[in-house]
Amino acid sequence: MTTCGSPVFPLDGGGHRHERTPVTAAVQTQVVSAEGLTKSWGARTVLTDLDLQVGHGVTGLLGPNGSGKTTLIGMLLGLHAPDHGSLRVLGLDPRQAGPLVRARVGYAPQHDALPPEIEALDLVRHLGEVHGLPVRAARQRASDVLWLVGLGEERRRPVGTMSGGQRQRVKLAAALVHDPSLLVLDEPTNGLDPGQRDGVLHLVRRLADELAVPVIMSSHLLEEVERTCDQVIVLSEGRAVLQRGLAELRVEARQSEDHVLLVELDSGAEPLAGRLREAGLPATATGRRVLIHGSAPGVDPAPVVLEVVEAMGLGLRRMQVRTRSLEDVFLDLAPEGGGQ
Amino acid sequence: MTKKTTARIDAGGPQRYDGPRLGQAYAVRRVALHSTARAVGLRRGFGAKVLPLLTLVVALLPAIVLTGLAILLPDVIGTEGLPSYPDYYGFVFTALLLFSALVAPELLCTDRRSGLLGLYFAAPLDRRSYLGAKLLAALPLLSVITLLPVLVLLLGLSASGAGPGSLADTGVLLLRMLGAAVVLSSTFAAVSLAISSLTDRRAVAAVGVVLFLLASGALSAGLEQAAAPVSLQLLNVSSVSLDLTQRIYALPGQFPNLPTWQLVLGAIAWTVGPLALLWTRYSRVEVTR
Repeated sequence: MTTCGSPVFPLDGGGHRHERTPVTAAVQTQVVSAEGLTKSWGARTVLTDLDLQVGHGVTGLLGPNGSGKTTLIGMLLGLHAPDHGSLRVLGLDPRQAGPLVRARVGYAPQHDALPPEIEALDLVRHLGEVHGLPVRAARQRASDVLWLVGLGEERRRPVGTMSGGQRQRVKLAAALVHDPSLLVLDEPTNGLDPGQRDGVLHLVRRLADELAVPVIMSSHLLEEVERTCDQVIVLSEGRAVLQRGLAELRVEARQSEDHVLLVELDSGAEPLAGRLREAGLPATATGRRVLIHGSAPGVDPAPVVLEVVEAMGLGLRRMQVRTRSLEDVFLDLAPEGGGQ
Repeated sequence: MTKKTTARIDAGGPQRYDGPRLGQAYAVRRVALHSTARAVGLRRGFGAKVLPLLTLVVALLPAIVLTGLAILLPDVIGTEGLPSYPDYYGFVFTALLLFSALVAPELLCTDRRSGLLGLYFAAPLDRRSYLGAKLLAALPLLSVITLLPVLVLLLGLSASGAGPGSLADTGVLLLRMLGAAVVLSSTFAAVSLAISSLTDRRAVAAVGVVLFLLASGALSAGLEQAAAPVSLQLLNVSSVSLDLTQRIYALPGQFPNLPTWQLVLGAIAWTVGPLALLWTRYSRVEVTR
């Protein structure tokens, strides 16, 4: 079938999302899969032998600046070819089928990408058309998505007169207008104040929940990922040092919570840690503190610690069960800086 | 008995889109149309419309005034007092120069400076189709400046009884006008787009286009004064395109010693060369940053 002399994308057709998305059964749960992905810019290797799987829900791509997040996003869109390895996005190889992939992916870049003079509605409508929507459908959906992102009343305003948070919302609307099968958001809260940041993160969560669009959201802030995502991929120096569901990580944090005992002394942390290890407790000394990690189930280390401290005549300043945060789990699992 | 109703309540917010998704060629056309509209100031403020309109007036006014006078006051200004079709490209040249300096920077610089280019490249467009869309926008715009005034002149001359003698003559004349428009539009579009690809700033690009074309003309004049070999006139894009236009009308042009085949090659080089520069610039554009 052709329309206006140009081939209609083979992904087209009526029916529901699962009928028109050209995905194999395996890919229906894996929106993105990469194996051994390597990319260098000149002498600098940005991604090294990267393996990852992205499923439905919101996936946080977490990593410090320069960890390869933006390069990975460029590869997902078929804008950069990997040097080695394979990559599938929505069941397609972006290098071979870049335009087809980009027609089904909604992308909101990190930088300010909006011409200031154009009205939000005109811009979003135009980008809908560029993604293949016929003129009338593009106009209707542009209006709908601007209402969805909370800019219904502002849709006739030139983008240049909007606040940072509103412009981020326009970018989200532009990414959503063509009803994408995958939404890629590159640092969507970049440059926003805390209130605007909250609004955008809440919106991202709503998009995933209400429209069931898989979202990949890059960030260098753990707190954002923790609040918004279902799954996290931590990139560090071009490698995925952690890929896990947030729920799983939270359970892990909770389970280990009771087994971290912090003991703070006036002095003598090292000798105390030695005595506690002799008594069978996994104790480590740091400065004036002794940490007892994950002692055996059913064993409460506190009475043992008090007994030994008294026997050694040490001055005890504080003893408390330390709540192990998700950040601790990240730092444990991604020791090379992934938890930054 | 209750009557069966077909009414339904739509849930608010965007629905799934299950309609057709048109291909890359459609995307190219939409970008071209959008770019054309922006370049002439449509859906923009009054200020953005003034210069394109003014340029069109500069190109059209002599034809309208002269043919109007020839029709209304045939005793004061006869048809012999009107410029010929090839002569009229002299009037058109200034407008073409101004229009190139307005249109090309608007087509390219704005997208790069605002970051919209990144959103285009994240759509089904790629570098080739994006530049194709921009050429598709530039060529008709420049063709309007090169074609419309001579068409007005043709209408005026025909109305005053000095038009082509036969239908065949009219056909040949129209083909010549079209050929001249293609030559002028393609060379000026290629040069002005290539210059605009060198900077993100519209004003800098516009000044660059004007300076380049004026310097090219000055070089030509200097070469002529210095009695340099005539083939060096091929270094001047204006000489090449304007002289080739004269040859299309079967006239010798300003440099009759320059063979037509050299002018054709020169025009091709002045089109392909700048387009190669344009491609080189855009093949290195970083999109996702």
